[in-house]
Amino acid sequence: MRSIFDNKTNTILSRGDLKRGKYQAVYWVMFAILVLLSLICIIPVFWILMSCFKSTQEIFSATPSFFPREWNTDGLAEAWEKLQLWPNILSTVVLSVGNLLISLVVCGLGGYVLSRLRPVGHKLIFTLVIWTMMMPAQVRIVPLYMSFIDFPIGGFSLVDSYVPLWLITAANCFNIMLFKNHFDTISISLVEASKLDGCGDIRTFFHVIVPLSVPIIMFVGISCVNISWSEFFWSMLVLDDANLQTIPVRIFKLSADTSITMKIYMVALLFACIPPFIIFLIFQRQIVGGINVGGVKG
Amino acid sequence: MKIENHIIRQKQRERAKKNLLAWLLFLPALIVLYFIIWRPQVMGFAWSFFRMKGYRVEEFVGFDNYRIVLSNTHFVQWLLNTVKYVLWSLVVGFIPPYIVALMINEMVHLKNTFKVVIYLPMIVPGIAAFLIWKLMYSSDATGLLNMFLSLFGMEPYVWLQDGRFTILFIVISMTWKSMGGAMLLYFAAVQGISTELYEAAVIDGAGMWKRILHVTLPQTSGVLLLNLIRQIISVFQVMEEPLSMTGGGPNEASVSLGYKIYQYGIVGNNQVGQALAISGIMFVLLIICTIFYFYFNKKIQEQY
Repeated sequence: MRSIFDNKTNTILSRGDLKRGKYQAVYWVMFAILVLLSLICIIPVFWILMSCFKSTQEIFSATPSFFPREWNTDGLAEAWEKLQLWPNILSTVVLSVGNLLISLVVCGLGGYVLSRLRPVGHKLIFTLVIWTMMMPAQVRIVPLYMSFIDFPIGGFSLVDSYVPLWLITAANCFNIMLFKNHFDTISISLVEASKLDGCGDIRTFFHVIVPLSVPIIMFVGISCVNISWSEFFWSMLVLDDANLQTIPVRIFKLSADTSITMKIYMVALLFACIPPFIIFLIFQRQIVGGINVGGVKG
Repeated sequence: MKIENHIIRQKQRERAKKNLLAWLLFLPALIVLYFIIWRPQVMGFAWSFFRMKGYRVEEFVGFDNYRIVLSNTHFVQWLLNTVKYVLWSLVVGFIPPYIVALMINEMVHLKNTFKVVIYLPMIVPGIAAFLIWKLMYSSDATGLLNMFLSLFGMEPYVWLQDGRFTILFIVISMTWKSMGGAMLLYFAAVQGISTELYEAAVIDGAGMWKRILHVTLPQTSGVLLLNLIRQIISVFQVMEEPLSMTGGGPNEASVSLGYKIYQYGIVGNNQVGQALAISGIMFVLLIICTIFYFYFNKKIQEQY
């Protein structure tokens, strides 16, 4: 008799076990738990989505229901009109692009130097980078903020500019290590071949190393773009001007704003989730795969 | 002789040129790391021994800032709250992702779907996730959780306003948000275990629990241990969550050390010295964890 478990690899429950009723029950219990957990993972955002279609009276009714009793779609356009998110979207996009370019240059070159060029003193830098990776970030909030409002060289203020946020994203030792670990795996013979063909270090980097590093560049790039759609603390401190606020900062400000209705607020919350979700849908494989690559090496 | 010298000198010059180029390429990283991480880390610690007026560094006062912070009657509560965050996050958020990873690895059906769906909360922006959970925790009938309770005919509960469990509820939302990442990490480790080990265990007559205990756990204990320390370090610094969900309330019940640094050092800037002192205390406590982390990391890497 064939069963659905015939193709199962032998892990904690082996194929032999699953011929017995007791273990089949264990399997289906686990399956049920995972289904339940998946529901828990989806429901909060789904609830906000459903609430966006409710009328304001229904949101505040004494006996609210999960699904809207009456699908109210014209309120959506109205809410969007009221929110005026375009300046915030633009600001977030500018932040993303800067994050992406600066991080790739800083971390990519940093990883390349540590992995391949190894100048005098690279061991010291390497140790520093490793230790920096584990340094508690919260400890530097105040001194970092002080240097943004009064930059140590020149004494000018960086508030209301993107520079601090770009630099914070770029100062990511984890990304430097990801690049270094990746460059370490590129076969030395390829590099030597390109040297024999007369390429210098810089041309080798762009013509041999970069094409071989597309997955890691994608992974770091996506995470740098995602940060600007999700990071809110530093964006809130640095981008004070209403027109410069990124989407996460805007929704935080809206949460304390009593002049908008609950429904408009929920539409804003829902919108904040959409761009990262689209990025995830497009780059799902790179994101999930990249975590595996980076995670095991830690 | 002269020619040899010449060659040596040329080689030296070439090496110097190479070193210079390499350092030039590393310069952007060096500048960024200096201004964003190293300088604030060191100067913050140094300035905690100075009297601060607003954001101006005035004069050296030794341990004065620390004395003021430690003699504050609330300090112990903030520290205990922070420890509570860590402990709850270990209870709620440390083992469950591991178990989930094990279960997903057992699946024949929908394996990838489960993986992606459980990862979904990771892509919800942090602040949006916490504000959504704040709405779910609403103390009136409109909150999702109270809607759920009313299905069983129960009265609405105050959730975050119940000071005894505020931290637990915040930790639950944190776990919801971040479980997917840990799950994927463990999944990669669990998937990497050779099936031959399991087959050998089957031949030896080991049951399900024995296989977990003698094959799965030993093979993944390294990842588990490192993640444990990493989680302790990161949750100890919790700040954005109380900031966005409770504002430290009710009655300071969810104030963490990280939140206090923000309140002292950034919201009102007349207690910057105390914010720096709390940072200093946190730094010392966490550096101990970091040393443990590197110790175990080295050991585990030697093992494999």
